[in-house]
Amino acid sequence: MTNIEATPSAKPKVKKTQSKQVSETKDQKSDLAHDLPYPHLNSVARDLMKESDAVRIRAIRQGSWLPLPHAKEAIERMEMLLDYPPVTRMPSLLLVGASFSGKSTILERFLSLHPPDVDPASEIMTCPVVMIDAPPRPDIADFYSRILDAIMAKYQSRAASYEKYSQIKLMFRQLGVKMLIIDEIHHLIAGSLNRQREFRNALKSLSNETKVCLVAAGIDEAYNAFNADPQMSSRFIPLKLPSWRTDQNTGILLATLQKRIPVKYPSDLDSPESLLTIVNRAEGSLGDIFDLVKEVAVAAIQSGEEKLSLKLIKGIDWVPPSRRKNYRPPL
Amino acid sequence: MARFHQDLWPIRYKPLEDELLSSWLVRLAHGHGLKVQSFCNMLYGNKRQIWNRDIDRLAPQWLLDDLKLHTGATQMQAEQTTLRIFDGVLVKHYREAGPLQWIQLMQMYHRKREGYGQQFCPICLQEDKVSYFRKTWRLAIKTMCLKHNCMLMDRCPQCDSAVSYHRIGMGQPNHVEFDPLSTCHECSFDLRAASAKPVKVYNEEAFDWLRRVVSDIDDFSAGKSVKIDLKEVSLFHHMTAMVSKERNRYHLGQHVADMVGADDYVPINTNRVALESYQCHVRNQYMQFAAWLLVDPQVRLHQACRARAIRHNFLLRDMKDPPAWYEDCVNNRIATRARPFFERRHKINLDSRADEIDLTY
Repeated sequence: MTNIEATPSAKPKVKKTQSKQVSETKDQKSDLAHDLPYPHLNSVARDLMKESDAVRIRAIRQGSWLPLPHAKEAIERMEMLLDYPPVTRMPSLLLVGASFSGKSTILERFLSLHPPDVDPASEIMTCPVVMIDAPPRPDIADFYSRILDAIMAKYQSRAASYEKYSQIKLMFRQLGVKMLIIDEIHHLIAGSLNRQREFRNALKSLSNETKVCLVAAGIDEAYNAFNADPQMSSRFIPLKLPSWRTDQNTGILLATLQKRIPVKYPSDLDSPESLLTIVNRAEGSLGDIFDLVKEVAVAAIQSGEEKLSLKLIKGIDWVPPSRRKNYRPPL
Repeated sequence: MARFHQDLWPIRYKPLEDELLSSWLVRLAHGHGLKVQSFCNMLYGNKRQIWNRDIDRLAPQWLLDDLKLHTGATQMQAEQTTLRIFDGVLVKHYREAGPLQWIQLMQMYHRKREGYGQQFCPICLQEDKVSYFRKTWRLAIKTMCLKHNCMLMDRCPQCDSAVSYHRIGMGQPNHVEFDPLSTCHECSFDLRAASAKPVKVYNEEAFDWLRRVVSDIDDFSAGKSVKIDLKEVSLFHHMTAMVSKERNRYHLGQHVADMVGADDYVPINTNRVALESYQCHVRNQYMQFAAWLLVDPQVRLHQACRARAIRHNFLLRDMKDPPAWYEDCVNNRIATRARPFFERRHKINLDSRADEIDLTY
């Protein structure tokens, strides 16, 4: 009993000391950061401040990986699938999100974490993850060709689809493929119901016979396309990517972006007015939020203002995503 | 997927020890799940044909360069797969067409091999993790496996077809997973299951001599630094060819067979057949006979001349560049010792030449 009683009293002490240490180190770091030039930037952005405007603009436009909570969760789920032992019914994941919500970025990030082995000295390439774009219509032969292209295999383009399928099975086994990522899976619906069914069956067979986990990504229509087949809908566990509103999450996102953008003066990105303006102008699309902030940052450098001010955010020439199809630029 | 190294193939097997170019290429194609003809047509088109010629012997540079590029093999590894490495070692003037000394003839007919030029050791194939064919198995001088002390084979024991591993999968449409290279393309018999025959030794001394020669060639082919004298192997070839044929009433082979007590000697009765297309066991016998002569050439060639099994002038005939010791031996020893018989036959007085005759033997 004494031991049990003693433990809870001891724990907070440890926590306190740990939190003290953490806060101390944080303070020390922030002190150090204040000593350095451009304390409003992180170390990478601070290094970029030594470069020319052109280099800074290029770096801004290139962007960088931002480990947002939903992206982290998606990658963790994919890591779990990658490590899944071969079972009769391999689990799969369906990443659903609106257009420009970061689906492809997450998939590419995951692919970059598991690159193929291109060591010329090795005899067989090890390639745990293969990523393709779904063909523009549910054409199975095209789908197989894309897989073979992705693994850089030699194949006869005019071969029948069953030959390509056999070749894929052989190559997957040799290369140790564990996961097949299919982006733009909503292309599936660009065909007749029979074609859609054939394509879904092909996906199912591929997963069953090669024991490869499938990860598909697409817009909401993909979800509907998969739901048409109860076997597929039960196999593909959906993961919905969030939309961005004027809330704390978006505030944190903009505050993080602010630290990464190499401009001389602290910006107003995390102010409520800026947050509201950016979310409204980007209409809650993650990709558009990034693009808008990038354009504002580029304008800030080009104008010499060197600050992402509210005035600049409001004044930048930006067409909201919903108006783009009807937009005619003024002459 | 643009991140991949664009030139490297996903399957990039490297040549195995002493592997032939054709064997390497077939393994690469099968590794990709393709027939070798489809694979090569895809890569090189119809204008650059590979399988209707002896590619191990031809070994064009563009093919080697391409394989190096796509497999990550080194220059050395790629070049070591071709029979060109025997240029200046077993062959004096390497040519792309026509017979070559010690290189087995494939007798190409389009994409078929009508000759039994590709030999194999069934036990080596059994022991291989991945069955493959060796360069030395294309050499006429190699008739036995020194590792397993057995004769090489040159045809399928079940259907007598020549070994053509590049034709595995022919007539089997939609095939992706191919049989190993040790499968007979004609009857699908697994050559690994063939029973290897032991080597018949006619004379221990001659057999040891032959073993040493073959061992040196094995080592050279495996990339070890071994000195092989082209003149010596050419002499051995010359002697084997002489043993194999009867010239008019001269029958050197029968003479050696009598000397070593071989009762299964059968000469080749035509000059049109090259040594490089004899059956493996026949070649082995002739080579053992030739080795027996070369173990002690002064005595044994002299005996053969005396027994009228060979004329001394045949010993140097057609030999453009014999080893100096052999030329000396034939001209100054055997010829001068043969001359008395020749001269006696023509009633020439021998007394004036008595000093020249070496009576050692």
